[in-house]
Amino acid sequence: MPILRVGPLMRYYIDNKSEVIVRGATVVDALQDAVLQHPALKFHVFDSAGKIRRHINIFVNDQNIRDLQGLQTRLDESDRIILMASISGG
Amino acid sequence: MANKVMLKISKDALTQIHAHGEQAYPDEGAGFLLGMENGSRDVQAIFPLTNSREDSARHNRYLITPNDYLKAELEAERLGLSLIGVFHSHPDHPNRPSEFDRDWAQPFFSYVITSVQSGKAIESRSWRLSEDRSQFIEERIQIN
Repeated sequence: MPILRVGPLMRYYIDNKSEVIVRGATVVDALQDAVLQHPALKFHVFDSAGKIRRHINIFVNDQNIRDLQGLQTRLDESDRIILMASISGG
Repeated sequence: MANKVMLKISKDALTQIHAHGEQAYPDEGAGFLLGMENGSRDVQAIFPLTNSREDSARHNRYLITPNDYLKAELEAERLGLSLIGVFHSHPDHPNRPSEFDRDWAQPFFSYVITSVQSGKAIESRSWRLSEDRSQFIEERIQIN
């Protein structure tokens, strides 16, 4: 099954793990499964309208899903989904 | 937390952070701190990056793109380390976090800020955001 990996800033919300095994044929299915397993993740990944928050970026292996088929990107059993937040300051 | 937290960093890594801030001047320079946390937090390598903010904002803002974030994460993994913080410079400003820094910061990371005055790195200080996000708390830097 695909693996969801999160950056250090989000590990707190998945019991301090860096990865979780997820079910799903597409990225959105996998994210929904991850939220089922770790409900605290929902607030940090999805906004109140159910859309991915703007500062969250999703990769499948090393490709941003914006360059693939977005949330509908299909997953293979061996794929790794990576959630990354943007980093900024001043 | 103020008296309990400490960031250990090698003189070489700190020198690299200062050099990156000087090279980026008059813009802000930034990158990741790679290391481990075993009781204390140890910086074992740095991962300097290009400031991806637009030209007009680079003098007082920095941005690390998700792609660069991913590269750093994979490099840390390759080295058997973790991303434990972010460093950036404040050109011609003190090494205290700005309100903008607080808006974007996350409680887990260490934020090393270097004041670069007239192109010369002066001093670095490290900060962590409190869990309630209300303030930054300084952590002592120990140079090994």
